[in-house]
Amino acid sequence: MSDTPSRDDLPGDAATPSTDAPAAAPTPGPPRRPARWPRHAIGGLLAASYLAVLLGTALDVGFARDEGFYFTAADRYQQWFDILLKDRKEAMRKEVVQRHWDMNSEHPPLMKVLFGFSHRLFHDKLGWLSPSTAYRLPGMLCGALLIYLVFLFAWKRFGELEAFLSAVFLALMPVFFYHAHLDAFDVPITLMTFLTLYAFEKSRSSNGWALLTGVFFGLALLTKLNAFFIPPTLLIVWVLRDVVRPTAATILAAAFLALGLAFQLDVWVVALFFVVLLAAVVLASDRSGGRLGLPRIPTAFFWMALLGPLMLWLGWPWLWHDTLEHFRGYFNFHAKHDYYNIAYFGMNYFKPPFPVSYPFGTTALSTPVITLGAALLGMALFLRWRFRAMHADLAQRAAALAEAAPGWRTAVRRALLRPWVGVRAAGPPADELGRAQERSPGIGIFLAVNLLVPMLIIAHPKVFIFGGTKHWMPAWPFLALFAGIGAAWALRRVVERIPERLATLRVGTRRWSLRAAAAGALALLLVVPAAQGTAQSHPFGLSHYNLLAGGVPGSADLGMCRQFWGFTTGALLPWLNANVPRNGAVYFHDTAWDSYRMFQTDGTLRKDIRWGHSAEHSVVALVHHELHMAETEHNIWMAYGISAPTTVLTHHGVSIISVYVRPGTKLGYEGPLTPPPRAR
Amino acid sequence: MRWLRHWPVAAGALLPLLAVVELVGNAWTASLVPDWPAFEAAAKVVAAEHEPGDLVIVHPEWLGEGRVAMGPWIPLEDETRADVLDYPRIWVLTLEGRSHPDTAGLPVEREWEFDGLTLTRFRNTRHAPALWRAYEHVVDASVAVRTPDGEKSCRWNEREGKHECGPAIGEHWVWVGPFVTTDMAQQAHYCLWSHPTVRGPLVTTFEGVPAGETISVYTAMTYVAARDMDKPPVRIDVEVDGRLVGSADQPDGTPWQRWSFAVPPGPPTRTVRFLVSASFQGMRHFCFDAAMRGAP
Repeated sequence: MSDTPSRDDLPGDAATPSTDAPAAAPTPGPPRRPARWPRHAIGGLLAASYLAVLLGTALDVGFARDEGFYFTAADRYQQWFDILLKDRKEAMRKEVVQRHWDMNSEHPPLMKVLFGFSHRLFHDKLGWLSPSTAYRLPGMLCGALLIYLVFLFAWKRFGELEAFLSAVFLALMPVFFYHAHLDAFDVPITLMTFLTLYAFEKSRSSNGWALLTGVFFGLALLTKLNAFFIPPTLLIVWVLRDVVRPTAATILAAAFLALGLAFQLDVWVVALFFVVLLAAVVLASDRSGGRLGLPRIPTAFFWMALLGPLMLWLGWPWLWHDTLEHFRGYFNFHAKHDYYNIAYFGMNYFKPPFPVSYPFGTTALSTPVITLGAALLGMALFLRWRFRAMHADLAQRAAALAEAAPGWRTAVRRALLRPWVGVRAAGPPADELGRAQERSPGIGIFLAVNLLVPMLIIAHPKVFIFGGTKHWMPAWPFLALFAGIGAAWALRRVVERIPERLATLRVGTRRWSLRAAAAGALALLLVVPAAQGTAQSHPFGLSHYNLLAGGVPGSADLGMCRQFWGFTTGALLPWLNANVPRNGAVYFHDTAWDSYRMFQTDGTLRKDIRWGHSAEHSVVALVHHELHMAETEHNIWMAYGISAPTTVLTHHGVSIISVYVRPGTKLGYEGPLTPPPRAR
Repeated sequence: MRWLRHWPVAAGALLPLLAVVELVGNAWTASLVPDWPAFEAAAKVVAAEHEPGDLVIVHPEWLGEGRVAMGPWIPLEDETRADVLDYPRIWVLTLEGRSHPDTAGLPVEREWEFDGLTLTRFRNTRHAPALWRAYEHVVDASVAVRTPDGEKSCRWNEREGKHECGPAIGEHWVWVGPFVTTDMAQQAHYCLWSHPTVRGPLVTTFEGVPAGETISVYTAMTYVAARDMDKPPVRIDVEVDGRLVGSADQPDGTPWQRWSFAVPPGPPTRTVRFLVSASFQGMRHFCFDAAMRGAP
């Protein structure tokens, strides 16, 4: 592990130049740490505001298929806790454990347990929230907490402006906003992953944080399967930051290896690049006395290996009995999962090979363009820093060769470094990015690896794609961080152009920084289109696409996935309530039974509206438009003998749900039957 | 190249500019499709000028409000049509600047604009009405499986509206009857379900078919059956008065196909026979339709 103190140990504001003053400087006392409360207060305010918006808009978002299953599972787990409180011995019996925890055992229980407790507290006991919102609250809290953590992370490493922009860019990703409403695991696992990575980053200088890394990893394992990818990701981060020195040779060799893999070159060529990379790594390492210097291994790895599996076992009663068999079942459910249908540029993919570009293409078309543009700028700035650092390093090596002892090695080195002989490299830029790199060496690598690994996993042609963009959600905070860094850097360059004489505005005795005001105003301007896109997307988050796609109509022309999970039924409830005849059966298509029941429990769907198993058994039939669902619609046509819907739910003019009514059905609800007067 | 030194400011200024472009662009894309009154206005025009036999198309398929507004003039048979040859006039409701491929090159009779919607009426110069359609006469057809042990007749089930071959050969999925197929392009077409069997060709015979110059044959396999691209094609042979006039293969991965075969000269009414066969019978969700066209 590096001995460089982390940013947390350094005084001074993150956005100001490094204050690594010599220890012997005659200062009156130890340097004062900047006050912590502003960042916690502002971050907390952002998170609280986000939570308030999520709560205020929750009932607009219909229930996704999986949510229905989690509502039911949450209740079943609560029943076990009831038994536990009454009779601990009985609750621990194998039959009782398995009867209650076998439901939805393909997913770990942490969030479902929290959904259940939240429902009990905020609906059953306090009555503050509707049933569904009470279940969903823990997921919303995870979303808000993630905003807070991203804000803190960016503030401490980069600066206030970066923190604000990163947190807001994340909050205003339309797809994130949608998922943050749900009682599902995607936002929670993104939070747990970020928490683990954050703790790992801090553990570079703290054993306490190393222990916490293990705890958070355990919580991540208890949240969702994605957690298994955290250790390999951290291993890559560690190798790239602390094992491999980013010399020109290692970077070039790694680049060639990546290109060889990307273009699927001959295995021997790829193997040669790998050998060259290994040689470059060894050459760049601390070698002495014919021994290879191994870097220190982060303590966090130890705690993760110890606490992760332990917490998973302790926190998941399903694993208490027949542990290996049940774990195998959990693992195999995902390893041998059915392939689902997913539309991408007019093609319906349902089996491998899936397009490698999928995670990148869909991210590019569903994230606000301003966020993408700022993120690309942020990445480019880190690359620029890296290349300039390399350039300076090579120039320095070339200069050192002037005094090297003659010999063939020196001759070879001189030949290789010839372009850098006599070069006066300026070195990496000394802007806020450079200072961040000084405070947290390799922070760019940390961000880049955590952005790319989740996306590259899905990019593999054999990996299942069945959830649109959500399966690489752990990458999104890092995309937002790059965006925040890029945008803040850009705004600072612009406001620096305000002449010094205009930089401060005097009003009476007070002075106002025009530069700060301009930066703030421009920052608000940058987040406005993201806010607009998010507002426009609600409550159809999964159906929303950005300007690059031509908006929602453009994405429909491109043949992109319009929705999945049948969640859009929520927006159709007012029509159903007003039009379905009394006791009429509705074919709800992709909406799950448990979700339908929750609409009725919430009181947002009339209780007399019945569940129809098919169009044939219903008077009203819905079609959630997805490319591979066309056959369902055509079956309804055959069943009803018509081909035109009675009404349609649209998003920006694009069909989301078509509603077919069986010919001869009299639409309209006339209110509850008046009970006949009782005979006296 | 001194100006290059100012690239950080330029890059910095680009982001606010991009924000403004996106802001305007988001508002623009959200208003690309007009509101319901425009569709209502278009429907009023069609209501006033629609004639029996006209075809009404809403394009693109995702323009749901258009399908609702035009619903009264889009019967199932039109929406699941084989092609546009049967229609003398074609109405297309679409967004401004768009066109439907089926109307390429057709002369425009009249065009209306409604706040970004375009309603166009075309004269179909390719109009070639069918003298006879297979799916309209399926009740009158006789169906059998030509096995090595002889022909096994399939019984007409009045209630189900199909010729069932299950009782004869023990394969309940082998029948001939009306069906709406969803082809590889996810498009719906009205046709006759005709799942082949390895026991022998499935033979559908129509007697007394009015003679024409050509017989158009349409073939398709359902999307779920054809998408795996790993099974052998289904073959259809077309006989007129016992003489083979054409054959067609429907391989996996291909959408709705149209074939045109010349009808040899002969009497004014003909016997047309379709023989459907495949070397493999798993998931061969094949269907066909046919139309006799042109005066004899």
